[in-house]
Amino acid sequence: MKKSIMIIALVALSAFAFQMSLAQAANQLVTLEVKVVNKINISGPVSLMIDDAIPGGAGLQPVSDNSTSYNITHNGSAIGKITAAVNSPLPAGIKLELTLASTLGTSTGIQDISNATTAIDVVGGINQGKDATQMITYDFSATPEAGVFASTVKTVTLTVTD
Amino acid sequence: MKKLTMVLAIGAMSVLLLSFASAQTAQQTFSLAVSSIYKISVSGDPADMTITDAVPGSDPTPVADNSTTYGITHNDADGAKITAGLLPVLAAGYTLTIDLGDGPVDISTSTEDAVGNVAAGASSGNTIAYEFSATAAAGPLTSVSETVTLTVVGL
Repeated sequence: MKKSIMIIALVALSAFAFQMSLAQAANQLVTLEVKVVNKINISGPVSLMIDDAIPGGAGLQPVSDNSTSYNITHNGSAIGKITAAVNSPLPAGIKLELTLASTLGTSTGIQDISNATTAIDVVGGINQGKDATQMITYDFSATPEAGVFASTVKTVTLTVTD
Repeated sequence: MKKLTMVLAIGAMSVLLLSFASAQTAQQTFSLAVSSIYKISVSGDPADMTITDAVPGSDPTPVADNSTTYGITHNDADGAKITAGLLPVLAAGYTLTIDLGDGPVDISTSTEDAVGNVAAGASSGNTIAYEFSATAAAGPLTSVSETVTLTVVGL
């Protein structure tokens, strides 16, 4: 009886040793991290020129442009936003309005950025994600009283933040 | 006569001794065996993989590391495979792939076969290529240490 128990134990031990020898492992420690990433770019420049008037003495004919777009990647908070600012204010009677479309957040609609040297919100509630080829619309208008406005280069800065 | 008898006796004994010394054998039985051997090791840990950038409108730019290698020895005539697994598993939106030579496999949430059939033999300096990616929707990930386990298994 004692002998048979020993034989069984040896067989079991051999089977275990055999199993152990069929696989062997090595470990590697991998450290992963994702930083907050807020990125935005614009497809290109825009040129706006008023060169006509509304018939019937209703003032100058405004012009619009929606030929450009922006792309955004945002993985920060779920309440990100895009702000817009101009590098210097426009003269009285000259008006530039900006509208940004958004599927990731909520557009604040048409925003007057003529004097927005301090950034104003143009898109709010941006969720974490990416948004490509979202339309940028500019509306440019002027009163006749403002007179001729020589071609001027202005810089609009769009900023995405948490 | 007595002296002669002694000389003859000594002579006979010498011949007998000489005969013994000229042929002698010994035999020994022994057993030989080579067990099934499966061994795998890695050169070290890869550098931290940190995603920091994106092309606007796209998910954050993935990062890669191929700074480490593995060595493998096995003697299974039927071949062996290498599996790779990750613990703890990654949350949705984060992906870690590993390429041990058969192409990248996603080990973010499960152990996968990384090399399908390794012939018996020994090789070292085999590149371990990692790629870590994340969707923008997944958000940031605080630095986390993960253990990747490579296992060589007989087929």
